[in-house]
Amino acid sequence: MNMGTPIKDIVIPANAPKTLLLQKHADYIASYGDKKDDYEYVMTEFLRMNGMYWGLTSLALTGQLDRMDKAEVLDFVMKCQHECGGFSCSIGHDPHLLSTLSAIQILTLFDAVDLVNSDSVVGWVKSLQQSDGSFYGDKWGEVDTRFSFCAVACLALLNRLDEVDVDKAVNFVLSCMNFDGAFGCRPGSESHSGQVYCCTGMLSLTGRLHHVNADQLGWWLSERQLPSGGLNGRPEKLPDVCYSWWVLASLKIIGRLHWIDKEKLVEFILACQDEETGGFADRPGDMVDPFHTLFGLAGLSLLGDASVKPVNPVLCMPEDTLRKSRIQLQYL
Amino acid sequence: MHGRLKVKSTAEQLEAKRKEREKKLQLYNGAKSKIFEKKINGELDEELLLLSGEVLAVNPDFYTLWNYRKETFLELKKIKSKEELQKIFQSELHFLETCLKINPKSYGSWHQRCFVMDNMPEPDWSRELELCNQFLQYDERNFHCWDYRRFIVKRANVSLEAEFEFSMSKISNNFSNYSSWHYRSKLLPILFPDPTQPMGVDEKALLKEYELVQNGFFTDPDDQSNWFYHRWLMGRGKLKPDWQKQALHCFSVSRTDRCVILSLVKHIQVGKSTDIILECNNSILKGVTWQNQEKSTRFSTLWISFHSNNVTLPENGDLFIKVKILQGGEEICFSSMSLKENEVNYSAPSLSTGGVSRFSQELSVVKTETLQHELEAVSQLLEMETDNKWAVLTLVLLMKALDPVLYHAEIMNNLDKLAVLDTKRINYYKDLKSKFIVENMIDALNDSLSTSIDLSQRDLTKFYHYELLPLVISLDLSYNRLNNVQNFNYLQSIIVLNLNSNNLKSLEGLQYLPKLERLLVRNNGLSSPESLRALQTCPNLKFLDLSGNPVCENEVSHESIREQLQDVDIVFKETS
Repeated sequence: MNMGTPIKDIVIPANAPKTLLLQKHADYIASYGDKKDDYEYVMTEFLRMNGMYWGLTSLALTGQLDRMDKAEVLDFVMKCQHECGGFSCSIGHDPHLLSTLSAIQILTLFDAVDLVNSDSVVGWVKSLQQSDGSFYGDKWGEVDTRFSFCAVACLALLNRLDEVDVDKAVNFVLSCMNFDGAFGCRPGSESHSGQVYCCTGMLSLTGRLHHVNADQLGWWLSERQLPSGGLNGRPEKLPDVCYSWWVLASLKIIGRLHWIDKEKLVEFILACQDEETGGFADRPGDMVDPFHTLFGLAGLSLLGDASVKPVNPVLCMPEDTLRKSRIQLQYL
Repeated sequence: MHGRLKVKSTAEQLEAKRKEREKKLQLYNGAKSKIFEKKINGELDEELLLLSGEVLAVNPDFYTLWNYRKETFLELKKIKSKEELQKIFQSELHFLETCLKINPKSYGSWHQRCFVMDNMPEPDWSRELELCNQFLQYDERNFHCWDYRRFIVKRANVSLEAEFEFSMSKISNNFSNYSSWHYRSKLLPILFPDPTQPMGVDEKALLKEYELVQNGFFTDPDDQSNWFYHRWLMGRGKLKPDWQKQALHCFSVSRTDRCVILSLVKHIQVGKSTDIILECNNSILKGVTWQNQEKSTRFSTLWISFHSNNVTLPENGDLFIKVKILQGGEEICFSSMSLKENEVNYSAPSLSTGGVSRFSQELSVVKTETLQHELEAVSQLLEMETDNKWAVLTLVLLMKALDPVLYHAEIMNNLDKLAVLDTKRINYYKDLKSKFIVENMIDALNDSLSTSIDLSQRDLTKFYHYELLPLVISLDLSYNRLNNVQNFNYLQSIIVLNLNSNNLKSLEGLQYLPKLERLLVRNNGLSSPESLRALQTCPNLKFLDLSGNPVCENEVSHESIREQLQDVDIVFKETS
């Protein structure tokens, strides 16, 4: 007889960091862009715009955004906008919704949304909506609920949400809801916490969270927490710091953040810091990167760490930045 | 960077690695500039395919290069013969297979494969299905591959029976396979449809699933896949038909307040395509606007009418009120009531529960038998695995579905047990317990919703179903563990609200309660005048017991609170 599948998890090493090394993280991010000829840096050009958003938001959450050269950043961002209105990940690459949302978020961080011709962005985003309400990521036709979130978040940040068919967009997202109350990439796709974040965020931005069965989804999300305290993205998977964001933010949006053990999760996130270089990795002992650094910091912020600025659970940006915009968000 | 272990290297190793990377980088950058140059010059040819292939082999997430290849293929389609194209696309499939073996989770590679299959002259779908089998052999949870599989199934009309069998073979191989259970949940309603049955699935098919998943949890009682699937099967009962479609749950009319309050089963948003029509003595009242309990027009189940001065309800005489909900110009539900000459207020449920629980599902005989059988099976499992939290929770849910009143004590005991067994999710179990307590209480009211409710000392951590209680006039929630009063503004008829001895830090959520007169919040955690801000919007508040809150310790705050709430009699200190 089968002896049962062992639970996939990690053990936190005894010597793992136990306090937040905030300044080290700020230093790590601030100097990340100095190594522009670095192999790693060059090879990740396809997500440069996202990477900048992760880094800049991390710095903003530590209250040190002014360490970055604002003019240089904005110059780069604006050079990535294409005639069609969309932004690419880097200069010369193709426009995509993923990089467009990051670009708009960066502009918002620097209070510089006015720089962009919002009509062209809105027009492009609109052109990507399909008759079933879904959004293409770019003109090549890949459909994903991530893009539904990107489209709606972009428009909300530009205060132009009413320019797409919101009802249809919502219906498409709802068609991706599964037997467990969670969401997948497309109708028929398996539930995934990253997708849950995109879909609950999208429903919050459009004021339609009543479609979510919060108790059912909240239970599925709370079961993402493993004995180590870390969260995984799907059943039977390893824990990972980025899920401290996707899962936690979703729980916050549906008003069920208290359904996990916060202290154990804090312990896990702190253990993923690199004491030498600063930054967070996916799991203790792995290589750090800006992506996990942002989601580590943002997770700690949602968990109530007062040394990190309060983060908005839907847009993953500092609350004080968003206070200036007129975005309406719904929480259960 | 996922799952990349940080390793310490010697200076020598580092230097060697640096040199190797520098070389790679040069080649990479060289190829990249050449590709970009060719693209700018419109040279969408086989050389571009070759060059971009070299880069993508190392870096398959460089999405722009996949786009260039797509553009190139579309160009080649115009000039190449069918045979040539078939070859070109075949070689792209071959290339993609190599890329996917290196990185099986690259969105770009999988999407490129869809593009190729949709564009090649003679796509070999069965070979693709075979490829999926291989990849799922290697990683049975790769959701990219599962999604690609669904794409093939759709395009090539693969038999869903065969797919159902495939999920079965995966599960027989390993019960702990969430992806396969998920697939079954999607296939069942298509393969075994029965419109007369809950969620449209044939009952016999469901019974087989019960058997299968039971096998699963007996084999591996700690694996969550089985339990999640099982919970889904259990939830497949049918809510009473009345509660599935839009209807007026209750409404109230008041001559003195000059308003009508509607509570609906489903959320609506008045404006755009949805409208509420109010008729008084058979003529439509024009100039009536509707707002929800937050005084906004966001989605809600509760709507309150506001009448401009010349469209008030008649102050005397018989009153016949009719309400219609229109969606896209079509009437989706309506309700009516009459007020006698001498009646000032009238409120009533318009949807009767007929004495059946609002919260449980309608169970067929077979379903009841099945659940009873499940209850025995799970109890049996619990004899061997006394501390298995999944089994305990399943037991609770089965009891709740079968008879929440009969099993009440057992349900409560088991939820307490769960809070001990699974401390990480202790608050989930506590909230679940609160929910069940509130549900039993509401069921006990039958249809008399204009009433007083006593839920004091019940250890409640969360208050549920406020949306069902817009007619309740008095609610005692003292001596519980509530830490917020969010959404309490659904309680539109409430006059007395007792929240003494809870853990409230703010009264956000009590906004706009039109009738609230007495509010008792003694012994909570209210620490600043701002935490009471919501009360400024309650026009009839007359008495507030604030004693025993941190805010009372500061005399300066008293002043500020008195200013905020000028006509309210406020108790700051307990009088012995």
